[in-house]
Amino acid sequence: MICVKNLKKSFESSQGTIDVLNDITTNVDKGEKIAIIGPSGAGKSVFLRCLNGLEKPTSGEVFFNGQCITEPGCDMNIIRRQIGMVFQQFNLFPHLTIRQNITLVPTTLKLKSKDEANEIAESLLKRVGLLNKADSYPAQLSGGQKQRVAIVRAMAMNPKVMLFDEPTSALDPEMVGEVLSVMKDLANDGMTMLVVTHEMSFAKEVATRVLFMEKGKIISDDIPEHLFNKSDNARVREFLSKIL
Amino acid sequence: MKKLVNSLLFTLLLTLLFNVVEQNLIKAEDKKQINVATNAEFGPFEYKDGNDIVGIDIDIAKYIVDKMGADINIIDISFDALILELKNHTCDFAIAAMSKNDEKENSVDFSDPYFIAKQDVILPIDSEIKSPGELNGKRIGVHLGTTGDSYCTNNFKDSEIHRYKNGAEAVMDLVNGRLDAVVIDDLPARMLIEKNNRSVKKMDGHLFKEEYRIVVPKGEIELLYRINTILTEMKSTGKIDEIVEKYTKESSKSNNSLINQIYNNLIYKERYMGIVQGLITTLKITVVALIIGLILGVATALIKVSKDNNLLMKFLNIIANTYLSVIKGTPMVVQLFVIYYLILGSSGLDKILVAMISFGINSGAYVSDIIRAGILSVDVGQTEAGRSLGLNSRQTMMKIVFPQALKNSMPTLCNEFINLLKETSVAGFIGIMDLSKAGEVIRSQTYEPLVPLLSVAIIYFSITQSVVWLMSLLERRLRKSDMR
Repeated sequence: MICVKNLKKSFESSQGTIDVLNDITTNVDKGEKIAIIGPSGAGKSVFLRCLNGLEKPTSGEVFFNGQCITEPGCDMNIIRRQIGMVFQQFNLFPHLTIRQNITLVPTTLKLKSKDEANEIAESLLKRVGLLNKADSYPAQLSGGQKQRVAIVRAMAMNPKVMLFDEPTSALDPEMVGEVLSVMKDLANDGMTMLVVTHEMSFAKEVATRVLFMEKGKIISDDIPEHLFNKSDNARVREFLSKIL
Repeated sequence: MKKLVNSLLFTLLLTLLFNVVEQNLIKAEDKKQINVATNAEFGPFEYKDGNDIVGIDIDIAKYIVDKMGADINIIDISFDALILELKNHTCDFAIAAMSKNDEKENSVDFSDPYFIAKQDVILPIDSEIKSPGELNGKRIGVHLGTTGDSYCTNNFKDSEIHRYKNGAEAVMDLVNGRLDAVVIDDLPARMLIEKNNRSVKKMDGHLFKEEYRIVVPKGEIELLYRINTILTEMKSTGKIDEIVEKYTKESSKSNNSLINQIYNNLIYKERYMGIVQGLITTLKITVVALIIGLILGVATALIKVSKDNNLLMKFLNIIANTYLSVIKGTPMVVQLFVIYYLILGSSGLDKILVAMISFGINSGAYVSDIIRAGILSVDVGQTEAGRSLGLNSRQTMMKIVFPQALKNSMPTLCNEFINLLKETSVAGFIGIMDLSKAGEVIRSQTYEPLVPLLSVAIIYFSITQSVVWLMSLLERRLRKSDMR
């Protein structure tokens, strides 16, 4: 479904050029749930953002369903409708109600009529237990509730794949669970997911594959049982021993 | 927004329409009409009373034209333009308390004098100055552009000359100790001294005399002869004295009590109407300028924050940057003059319309900065969220970023509106009767600055306070989404 070839990304800074992604090549098949872990500064988020074009790679190619989306002529706006993204900071639109947050894009892009969009929003909100908040504003919600709405907002576009960029990192600990359970539901429904996370329990329980990134490279690509118990990579073992 | 645009267009159309009607009225020439030019800013000789131009000179001119068996058409233009108007034969004669000088005599002809004005010196009551010679080196207040001004400038080389737009303000400063003497025509001087008889006095004798004459285009000998004949008759029959008497008596009736001043400045001769009309003009200019400013400001702000890098955007960016730096780098008055006299000078557009455009252009630059700051204050995550859902950059701006930016900018936009309202007070510089100018006109008629100044200040203050109050209501509604 997603095919990444020799992806490189570097930033210019006062200390010279920094290579954030250094030659990443990997594949994501339909239905896979991939956890991306690793120390901060490893390039996990940048990698994720390259997949929907929020970052422009310096070189390399990304294919989505066989279409090269790193080509200059590619209409990213069409591609992005099929790739949902959930951010660490939720990024709900504060001037709109929850209902409007969810229906804004489908109606603006004329993908759905107002009534249809509304129906979808309500059924999705019901699924995450937030139907009673439909006409509240984001400021009236807790962090966990906001993130659940953000997931619903992305889901309302009926995406083929969902990208999660540290979805629980900005949450108070007692709210992490409610967001993870929504994500687990999504995984059980067969959604293709890429999740940058520090939640090792999620990586262990839900992921079908775990990518370990460090210094812009994928240094381990493994199934969770193997990675968490008897990884043959010393660096991975060291990292896990620190956080577990 | 559509309604706004419609009402803007309506106002524009209306102003244009008035313009056309006005011009046609002037053009409707009658053979027997005589055009008389004056500069109605020098009471009691010529000044505006409401919409009428009145004064000693005007009555004399009316008498002369009447004797000639013609109808009078009075043209009010700036003092500097009078000679030009005569040269171009766009008027038949000019009467504006003008006196002879060599420079002028080369291009126009002068009648016999119809009035001898004496320049008097007003002194503080306890002043020890006794003769004109002692004035050199003192701080002297004069009426800007009058012969008193040039006389003092030429003769008292060591003095600080303070130039005022009207005599009453000069005398206020004299009373407050900022001046040592005020030099002004004897007629206004007489009234000013009467109003302030506890604090000022007249210096004995006159500083110098000057003779007021009617001015005609060079070579109009026949016209000059007829004018001189009528003037001689007016002098011998006492007609001129009668007219002068009429205009100088009126003000000496009043005394200094506050009630009396309020009556004299606001109610007498319905002077408050001038303020009401000025207020309407000020509001019209402010509101239309605000709309123009918002349109310009939002457009330039959007151009400046746009990330598109094509040739058109680069070009628009250069234009926007030039516009912003020119407008923010020069004073409003200068911009008004440049637009009124140079850019739209020959367009024949109504003054008020020109003012609306000028203030709109000026305000647009500040609105642009406000909106741009508002846009930049919206978290970049908002744009990313919009884009990641599949909106293009324009949709993201219009649906997500701009509404938040506008809300963030509301308090500053409200300030800009208030600034704009106050800034329009310079419209008087191009002869618009706005609120400030209306106050000024009353001041020049009554020689009492207190009541007109305070009235105008109170009106400005009430408007700005209501705007602040309205904005706080609006903000409260907009903040609905922030309440927890």
